[in-house]
Amino acid sequence: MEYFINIGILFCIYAMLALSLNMVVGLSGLVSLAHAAFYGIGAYAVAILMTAQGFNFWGAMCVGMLLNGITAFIVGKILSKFKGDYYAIVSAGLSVIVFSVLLNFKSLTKGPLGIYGIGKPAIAGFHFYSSASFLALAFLFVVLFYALFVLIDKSSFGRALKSLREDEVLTVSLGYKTTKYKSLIFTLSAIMAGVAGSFFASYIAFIDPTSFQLAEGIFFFTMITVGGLSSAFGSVVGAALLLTLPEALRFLGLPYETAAQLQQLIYGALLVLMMAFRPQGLFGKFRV
Amino acid sequence: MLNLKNIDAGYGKKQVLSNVSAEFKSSAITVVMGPNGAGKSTLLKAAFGLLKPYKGEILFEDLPIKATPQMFVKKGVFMGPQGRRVFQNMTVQENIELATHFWKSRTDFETAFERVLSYFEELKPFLKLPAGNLSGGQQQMVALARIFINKPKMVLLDEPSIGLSPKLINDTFFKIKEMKEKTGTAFVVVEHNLKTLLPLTDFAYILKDGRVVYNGKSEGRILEKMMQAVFE
Amino acid sequence: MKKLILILGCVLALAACDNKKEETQEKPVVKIGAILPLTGGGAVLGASLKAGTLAAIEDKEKKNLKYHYEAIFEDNQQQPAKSATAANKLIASDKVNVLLTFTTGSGRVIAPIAQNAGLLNLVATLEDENAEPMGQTTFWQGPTLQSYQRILINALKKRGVKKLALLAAHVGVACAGTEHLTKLLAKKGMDVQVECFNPSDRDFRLPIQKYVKEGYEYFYLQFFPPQTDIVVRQLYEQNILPQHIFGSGIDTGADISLFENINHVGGNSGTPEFIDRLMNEYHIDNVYMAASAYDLVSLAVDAFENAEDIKNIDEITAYIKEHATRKCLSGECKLFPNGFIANEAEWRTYINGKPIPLKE
Repeated sequence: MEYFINIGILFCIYAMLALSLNMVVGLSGLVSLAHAAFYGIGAYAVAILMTAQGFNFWGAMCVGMLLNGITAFIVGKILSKFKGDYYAIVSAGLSVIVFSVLLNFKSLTKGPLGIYGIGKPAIAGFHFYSSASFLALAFLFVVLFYALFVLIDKSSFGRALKSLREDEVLTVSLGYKTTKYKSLIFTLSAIMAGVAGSFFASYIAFIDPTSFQLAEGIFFFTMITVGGLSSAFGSVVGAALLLTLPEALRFLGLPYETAAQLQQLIYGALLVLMMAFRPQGLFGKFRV
Repeated sequence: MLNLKNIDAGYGKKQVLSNVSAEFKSSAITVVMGPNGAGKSTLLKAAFGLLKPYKGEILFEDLPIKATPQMFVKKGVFMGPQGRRVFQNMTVQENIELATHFWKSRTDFETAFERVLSYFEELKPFLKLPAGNLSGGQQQMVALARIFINKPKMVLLDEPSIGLSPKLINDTFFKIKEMKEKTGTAFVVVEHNLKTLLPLTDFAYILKDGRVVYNGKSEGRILEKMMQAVFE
Repeated sequence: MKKLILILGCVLALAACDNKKEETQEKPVVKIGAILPLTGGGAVLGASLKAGTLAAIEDKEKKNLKYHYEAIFEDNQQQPAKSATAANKLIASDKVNVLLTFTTGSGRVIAPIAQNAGLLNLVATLEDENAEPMGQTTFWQGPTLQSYQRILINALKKRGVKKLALLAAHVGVACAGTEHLTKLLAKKGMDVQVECFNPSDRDFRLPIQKYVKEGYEYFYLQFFPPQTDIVVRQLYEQNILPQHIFGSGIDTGADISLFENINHVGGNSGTPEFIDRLMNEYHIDNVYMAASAYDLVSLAVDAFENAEDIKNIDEITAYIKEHATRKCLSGECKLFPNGFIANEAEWRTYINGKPIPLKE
């Protein structure tokens, strides 16, 4: 049971990341590889403030959200000057920069040694020590993020995003200030990624910079591409699939000399097959 | 109504327009012609605020303004960009709705929508279909519909005839003339060469190599001579 | 008639097979859950620790024990999140009695999980002897950062090294320990330049050239795979001789032939017989920390064998606290109050692909 609860918690964290990234990539057509950076900032905000400054989880998470909001606002302005592939490259640059800061700013982040002993959230005296309670809390946020996605998707804000995704020039000529819309959704998505990072830091109680590299951002991309771009349900399915697949492979009973390597092979082959037969993802409404 | 004074404009380091001045009068159809690369599209983009000029002034209703599309739509000036008529993946109705995003009240939309459809009866069966499924001519109608629902004072159209058969081009220009006569809407139409349809228009500008070489009524010997010189 | 004998023979054989199973099933099984990097950059090290674990079990099982010991391996690809899920899977699904892992990072992630489940957690890692304890049920073994530094300083002084370029990776204690090391070396009159690199860096040529130009003829390296091999190759490209290269973590390299005659400080690899056995029977080239894994597993087995109730974690940890300080395969083992079982480090080199300790 504990095992499933723990997988469930990781699923919630990845679902939060997938939903927030899909708002930017799927809904708005912005190929962002910066997500891991915001994930990392949210995680480290909680880690540093809770262990070194005695903040509680919610306070630390809010600081993380604020940091992400400011960073995303500034970076978003720079990114708005780029399109398509260049947007991807510049946003990837942010991931590399943040990783480098986390790794090298030792006096703040303890660098490669990481930060351990991160506590759990509490509400009105109730501490979320048990994994079941933590799962419930994390799941609440997933529901919140899912609802937010659907709300935006159906709103006029969402319509504006989808139209600028399809044809930005036409959208501008209709009188939309598209840079404002792009900035808004990018900032919102960054704040959400930070929340996921905060939950991750508290759950695993030890973080180090290696969890927040560019490669992780590419993994988030894979989740939403396989699950389906521009779809809330697709985001959640993608997260569930890519998390449980490697775990399920642990139970195949492969001979232990080669189990780990075979698991990697099978996982890779399944991804290739999925994309070959359904390139728009399982529930995708949009192809980049 | 819309005045451009001494405009220098271009894309980055590449300058296209040099010292161009133009006056687009209200309740008139003005046509802007010229060979490829003359700067016609650039002129329209600069006028609408899609492009920031290096130098020059833009006046709307005699007042100097900072031209941006957001500002113009609220003042009743609308644009149909070149080659982009509709959002292919959105329905015809959504396409038209999108153009009214800045309206204060949604209920006004219902009545306006009914009204505009009466001008574009042929679109009624396609309202819930993706606009990309429609023919070129029908997409052009959708583009016009979404402009007209806003009861525009002035409409800027960049090469509306692209990809249309001569008959459809004729139909489009007749609709434009109809709108001008019924509602007093001004039109500025950029076209490569409009010899046959000139009689439908009021004023003409001819651009060559980024400069204005003719500015006046869209008839007469001087115009004919200039067109011969520029297009042959 | 012949057919009948054949069938009878098969049935008897099957019965005999069945019987053997019955025999081993009589003893209750103690499961060791090992969470190691089996794929990815650290796979070389994971393979070595796996071999050490299996060798320890093999040796213990030769004796008549109360329990039968079995190791179950899970891959964590050196990612903390995967260590957590692997630990949970091993506890919940495989019902392991003890967890074993590699690197402090993984150890710290698993420590609270193990403690909650009332299980022993063993970690093979190189660490600072003053490190914070990882958890009440966690013990870790490996050479200490301090012993590495002591041995290195001594060896460098004996060779009369005056100018040293120290290149390290931003991983674990590698770069983190260089500040202190530089101070100690400076006290002995050495001029040391330190440069730390990101784990993703692959081109060290310019820094190497720079140091050579500035007259630093000796290099000291502190890297992990795959950087270890790359840096050494690039040093050779610049015509730096193995005699001018020193390191720690040289023993983490993948291609051992590269490191011939490079003197380095490493964790004690155990006896030459042990090294031979790992290379020949378990087919691994790099025996990094296999001896430490061997020692941890042996200690755990002893703890279980001597316990009244193997599910009583207090009994198990008490046994370990009492017996951890001993002569072990990796030299002398000494338990510190923070749970660190320090084994010896040694100054050594590679000759014909084998680690040979050097007497200094």
